[in-house]
Amino acid sequence: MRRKLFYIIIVLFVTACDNISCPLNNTVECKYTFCDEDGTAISIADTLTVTAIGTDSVIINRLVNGSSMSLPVSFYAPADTIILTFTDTLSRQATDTIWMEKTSTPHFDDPSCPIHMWHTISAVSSTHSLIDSIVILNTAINYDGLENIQIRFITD
Amino acid sequence: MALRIFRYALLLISLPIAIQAQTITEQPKKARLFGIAVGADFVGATMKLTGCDWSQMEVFGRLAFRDRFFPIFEMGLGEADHEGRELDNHFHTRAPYFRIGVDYNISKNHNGNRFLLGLRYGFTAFNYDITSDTNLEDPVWGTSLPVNYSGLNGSAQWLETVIGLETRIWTIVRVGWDMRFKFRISQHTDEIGAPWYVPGYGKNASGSTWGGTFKLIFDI
Repeated sequence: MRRKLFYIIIVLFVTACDNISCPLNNTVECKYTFCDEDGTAISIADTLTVTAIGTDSVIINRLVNGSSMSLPVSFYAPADTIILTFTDTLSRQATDTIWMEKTSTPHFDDPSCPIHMWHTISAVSSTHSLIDSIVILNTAINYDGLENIQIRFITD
Repeated sequence: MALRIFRYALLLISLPIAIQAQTITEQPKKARLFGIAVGADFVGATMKLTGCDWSQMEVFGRLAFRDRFFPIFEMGLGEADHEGRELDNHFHTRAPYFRIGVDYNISKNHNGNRFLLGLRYGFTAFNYDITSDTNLEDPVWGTSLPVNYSGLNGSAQWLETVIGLETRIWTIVRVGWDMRFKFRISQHTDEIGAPWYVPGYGKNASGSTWGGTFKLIFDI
């Protein structure tokens, strides 16, 4: 009996090591998917470049045949303004703007892990140069990586 | 140094077993009908004195029926002051916790030694702080704000299964230790994130964890 207890104690001491469990999948981006007016998934043949108001960064540069895109979300602004510029093979350009209103909350896992910002989409709208409509599929932007917004393009 | 601490820890833990072995030959005595005991845990106090990131100072009151059933009430003060590795994120909390439960002595001899199996229900309500010396910076838009979230509300309930030994070392004085497997029933935390430590439960990395006590007990 005492021998068993001794072994139990040894095992407990050995397994009492500290560990940190930071999530490996910790990318927080808003995922947009591209569809036609009926909601059927499509690819965009035109070259797509994405910029945003408030930053000089080109968020997506010359995406071709894309069927979806994942964009960062601002940490502190109440709404993001995303500009989509489409360029066809004849170098003709068309531009649409998407406004996404959201609330942002810091997310804490462990003091040894970086703090990330999670977001909740409250409303979304767009211009209608090439976009027919825009639909919220999932309001939560977090580690899950689910589709958040569906962009329905005019395909006629 | 670590080996020396490990040896001393093993020596302390095995003390009740050794004493039990020495006294096992004593004549069985008739169990007392009723008793009251109070005591304190020394693991949490040792953790605090040695500068651990978290600790819990704990006392308890216990009834005894026929040296068999031991309804027990435990209360303590849990605190944590932890900074992340390589990051300066900081977690802090300090709050009381409570446990109620019962131990059952499976030892057949009423000679002062007890082999206890038990169950506890624990609960706590607490505030916690998450702060950082570094601002949380938006890498794309370039804006940043300080990380300073204080007074976040949390609460938790959990169950503990207990296995322990204790023995009388002098008239009304006993020592004992136990190991506990704890599993969380529920927790409510702020939307920012779950606390790194829950008072009374321990480090909050998962829905279950291990704990233990080394107790000094006074029969009154």
